[in-house]
Amino acid sequence: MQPGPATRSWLASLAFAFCCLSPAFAASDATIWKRGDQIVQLAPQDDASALPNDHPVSTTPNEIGAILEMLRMRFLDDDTETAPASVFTPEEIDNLGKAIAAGLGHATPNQDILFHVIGAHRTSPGAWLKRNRVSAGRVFFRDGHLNIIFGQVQTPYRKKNLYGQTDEDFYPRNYGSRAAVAEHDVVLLAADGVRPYEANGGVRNDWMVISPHAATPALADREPEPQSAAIIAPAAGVSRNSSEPMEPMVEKSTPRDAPSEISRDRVTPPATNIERRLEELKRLRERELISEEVYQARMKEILQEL
Amino acid sequence: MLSKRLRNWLPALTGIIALTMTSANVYAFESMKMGNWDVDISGNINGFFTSIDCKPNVVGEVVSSGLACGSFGSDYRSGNVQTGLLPSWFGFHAKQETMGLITEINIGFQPGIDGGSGGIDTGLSLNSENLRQVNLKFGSDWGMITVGRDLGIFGSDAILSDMTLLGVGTVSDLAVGGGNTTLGRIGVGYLYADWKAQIQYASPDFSGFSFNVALVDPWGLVDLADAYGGTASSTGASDFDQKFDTYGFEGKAVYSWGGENATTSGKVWAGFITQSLESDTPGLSSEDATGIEVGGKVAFSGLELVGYYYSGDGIGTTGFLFDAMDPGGATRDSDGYYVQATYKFPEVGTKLGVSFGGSNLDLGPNDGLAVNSTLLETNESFVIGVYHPLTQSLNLVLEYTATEATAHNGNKAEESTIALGAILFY
Repeated sequence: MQPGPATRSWLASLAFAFCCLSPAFAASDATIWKRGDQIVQLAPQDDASALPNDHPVSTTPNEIGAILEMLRMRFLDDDTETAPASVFTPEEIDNLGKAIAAGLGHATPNQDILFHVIGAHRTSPGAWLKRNRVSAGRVFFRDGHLNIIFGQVQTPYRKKNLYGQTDEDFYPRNYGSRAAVAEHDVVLLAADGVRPYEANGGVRNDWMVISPHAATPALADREPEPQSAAIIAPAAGVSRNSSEPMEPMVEKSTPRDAPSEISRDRVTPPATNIERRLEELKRLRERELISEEVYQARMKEILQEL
Repeated sequence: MLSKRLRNWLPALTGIIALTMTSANVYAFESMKMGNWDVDISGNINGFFTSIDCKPNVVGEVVSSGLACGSFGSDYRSGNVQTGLLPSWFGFHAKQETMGLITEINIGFQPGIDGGSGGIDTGLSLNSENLRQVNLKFGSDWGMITVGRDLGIFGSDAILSDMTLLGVGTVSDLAVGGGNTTLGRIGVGYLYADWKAQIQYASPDFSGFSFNVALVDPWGLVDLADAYGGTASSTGASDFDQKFDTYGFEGKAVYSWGGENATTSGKVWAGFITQSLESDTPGLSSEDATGIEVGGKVAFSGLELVGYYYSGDGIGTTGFLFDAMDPGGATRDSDGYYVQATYKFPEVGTKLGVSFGGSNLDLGPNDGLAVNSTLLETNESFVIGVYHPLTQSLNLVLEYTATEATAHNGNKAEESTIALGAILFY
């Protein structure tokens, strides 16, 4: 049975419709950096009811790098339980430091910075064999703290081989969520200035809240940045696949407000943030979700930032 | 001497390997970092029970090159345990990046689970195997170059979008009882992209736009019709003293949109294939085999729609240059299409799919009257399938395929196939 002229016309129309409609569905995400399957991009907050972030924020790759270096984890699996290890490799920290700093400088209050990076991690401390592992999540700055929600922490990196093509991820990507807690095979470790997010009387193992102050000692060990990189200036650009040393580029995003600043020496959050945090703290105390001691301690902590 | 050495070394070697595996806690099938290389072993193993009913319209009537089993004129049923459309695959992949240059190695071989050819297997009829993919790639921001044997460009998006790639689709007389794979929708909607020695350039992504072009090893004609024993035959490689100082070219342009965070995604593509056919045989002129294709795929909220169409002169049907020329050496026109809709249920991940399509082959000027020709006019099929993921790796598949082959003289054959099986990706 031959397809008649009507069938052929219909097929041609279908192809035409695809062509014409497709630009309307174009992705609106802004790519900051991309290399192969690794990407850092701006995306809307995952929860419409979430409080706006304090974006844009001016910071430097070194500051973000020092913060990421502080993140430590330990595997839960008995067979692989090891001493605490870094969440990210130095290469991941280098790439993420630049891209997240650029992203924070360009993000609007309703945008998060999503990341999906791949690092070669030793199979165990001292082992010669390394495996490629994925860490993915979302980053935002609010109330004077950098928040990182992890959807994946060193999960296996695999591509599905479908008829010789390896374009498809074996496991779905997970950028973390404010609402849904992601289960991990690792425990993210708290440290001085690094704590898990507290919610509903408990803590979340996938959400870390980091005070930029805590990274100050680590900053001294990092190589100083060129003056031009100290403050990331908002700039428009185009996304690209790059194997060159990374220069983050942002597209389709222009800062609407002058960036607030994470200073290397001190953080000066807006007064409204202090008010909001005190109100939030008071609300938690009134609902008896935190003890009087915690309330007093936290209140002092917040007021000290003034 | 050798055995003695082996006896001495084996325990030590085994111990070293065991110690390494234990201490390093090697995770099977993870992408490993070895020196500067990212190394992967990946692929799939699949197997299906197929219950096939093959019926010619009238016993003894042939549909030459028909893909519904029964096209040979025999009325029969067949039950098999066999590989589906997707060959079982053992793939080795290594990739490294040095000074901004990406280099890759791809080697894949395909062990079938059933006997190497159709028909009833007997004892010691070992399974079939292919070696389809052997290539290197290198590139950077300016794109990637592939040198070696890889999937052809023309028809590649059609087969990669075909839902029966995870199933069975059409089996045909050729693959009943075994063979390395079934046909899916090959020859029943698109021309097989096949695995070709080639040098291919793939452009980088320009905001969704990309293109590929390839210089391809020239191929010869295949007279498939002759094997059916009807009144039809084609010019084959033995009839056509083909000059090989020519090349094949293939290419496509693609526009993709959407992404992992977009609610809607898809792509449209348009491609071409061409190869000169030049012969020293007296009376056979030189001809060009040329084809074009267009296709589109769009996905939103679990629903995915695919539409595809191709048309060509001298490209043949089912496989490139299969029955492409009539007995007088003149090219035949051919075309084909398929449409497909699938819906993936949220949470459970079960995918329901339905597709319909066909391929057509016109008579050439030297084929004589249509009423006398048993040459295939149309292969057409309807497929409905359920694809359920038990895990990220393991899928269960249930498929029903109805295929009909029609000859120019009106002969018909019908195939009904029920397939139930599993496919495991690793």
